[in-house]
Amino acid sequence: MTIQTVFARCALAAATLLIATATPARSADTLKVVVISQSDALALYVAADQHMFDKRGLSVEITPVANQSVVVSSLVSEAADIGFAVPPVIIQAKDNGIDLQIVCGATEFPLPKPAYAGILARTGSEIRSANDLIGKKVGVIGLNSFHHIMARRWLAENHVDPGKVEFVEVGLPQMQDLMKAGQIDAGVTVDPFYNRMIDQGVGYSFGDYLQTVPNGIPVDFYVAPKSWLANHQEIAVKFRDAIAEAIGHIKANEADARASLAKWTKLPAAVVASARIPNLSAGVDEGTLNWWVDLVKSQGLISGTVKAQDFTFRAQR
Amino acid sequence: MKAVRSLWIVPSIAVAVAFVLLWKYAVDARMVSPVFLPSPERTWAALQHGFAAGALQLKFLHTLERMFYGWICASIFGIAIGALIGSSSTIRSYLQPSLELLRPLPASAVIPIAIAFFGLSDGMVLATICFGALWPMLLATIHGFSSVEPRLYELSEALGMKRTAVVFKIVLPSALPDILAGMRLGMTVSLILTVVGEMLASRDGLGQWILLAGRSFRSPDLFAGLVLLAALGLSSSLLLIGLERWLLRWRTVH
Repeated sequence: MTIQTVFARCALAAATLLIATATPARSADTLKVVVISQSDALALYVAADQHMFDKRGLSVEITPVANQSVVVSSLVSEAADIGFAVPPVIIQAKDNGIDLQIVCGATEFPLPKPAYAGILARTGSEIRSANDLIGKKVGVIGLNSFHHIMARRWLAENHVDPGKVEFVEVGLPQMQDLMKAGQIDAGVTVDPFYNRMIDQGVGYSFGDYLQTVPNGIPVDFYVAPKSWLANHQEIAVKFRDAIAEAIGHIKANEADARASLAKWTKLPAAVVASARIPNLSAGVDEGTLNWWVDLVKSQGLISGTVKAQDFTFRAQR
Repeated sequence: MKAVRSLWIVPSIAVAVAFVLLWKYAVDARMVSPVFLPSPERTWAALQHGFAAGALQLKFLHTLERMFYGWICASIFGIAIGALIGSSSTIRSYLQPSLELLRPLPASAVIPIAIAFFGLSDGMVLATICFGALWPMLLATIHGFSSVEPRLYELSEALGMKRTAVVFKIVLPSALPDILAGMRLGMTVSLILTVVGEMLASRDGLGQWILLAGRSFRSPDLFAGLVLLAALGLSSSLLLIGLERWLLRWRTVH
């Protein structure tokens, strides 16, 4: 074998290795979005399915994750660019040095009727009012979660010290069994479990803890790290515009919306058919963020000086 | 000789200090985001703040209480069942296969069953700790009982000792080193399961403190909880070593 043949073979091997191992370069307009699989992200699903991102030159990759902690971790570690979050999470994140800003809104109050969430008391428990919960055990999906914070707010509104109610963490699918077995006296639950528990006579509703929230208060939104937004303003604006367009499309094309909901959440057809379309809104007002900051602060969940302006993203056009 | 043995503590402290310095270096060099890995100074500040506010003492005591009661419960069951199996070949043939079936089950996997029986309560946590922590004691007791010097049995026969006297005066003292070693392992398992139980059953303690701190991105508080757990594990282990030395002081050191 000649030396030229050896070099040629080495060069070919090296080129093959380079091609095989090279990861495709991420194009400037590729977006990784992490979301908790639920109907509140409907605008995102519809925007993807109706090519509203594509026509703005955005290639969006949607990844469902289990919970809010994973959303924030993904954003901080740059595994994702935009995440789906609720206000208490980003407020607490900011209080601990994680700077997330709101790209655009997702949904806001008032919630669609009839109620799909509430506090259910165990059948036979004789609980009729917030006062009856003192000393009782109440199941909630997650301690210090959105629903736990709102339940505590409802108790305070009804002049009950939330500290006198024992909240325990219970997964939604397990809540019915635990309530039936008498392990919990009440549960903060949402659909499809909420109505199923009522229909099966396991519990009865006595507290709509979301009813008194003022109209316009955001429920959730799409957020991104401040540092990422500073370098990708145009992409963020395109994303926002696509979400706004999707919201308009949903209002005029409910069938498309339900098809996207079924596809992305994998819910059964019967559930999708009767699911309530959330109150979608891409805008977010600083005043409504102040409402959240004050609420989270009043429950002792933050210690620092977090302000609503900290979360506002304004593109420099 | 004792003075020389005491000097060995110096290198072990030096290693611990080296770990802390390495930790500080990792944070200062931004090898890991300070959001996820706080510096030793912030962790210390979180510990001080937690104790000053009164929150951490209570949670520490709750965790200590559950760990201790769970461990005691596991020790009683583990040693009793181990003694039964170790002292009777008939009982061993009846019980041991079933116990071997149960032993590999992860204690955290039986938590849903414990919840069904005991609800979301301290009873559930104690039952889980008892189930998970009894195995080291049980196996060590069986081994201890089966390792008794046969001549001691011959001696007991010659002296006409009753069976209970044989167990309490010969077998148990002989098996004590193994039993105590098993109890030390059981203590570690107890601490782990206490933390897991507190997280899953929403019981007030260091486990829940760590879980909620993680969810709220309060990494200094999370690490403060971890430091306290490490201190609890170390101090309980040292106490047991001291107890072991005192109980076995009759053994000749060769």
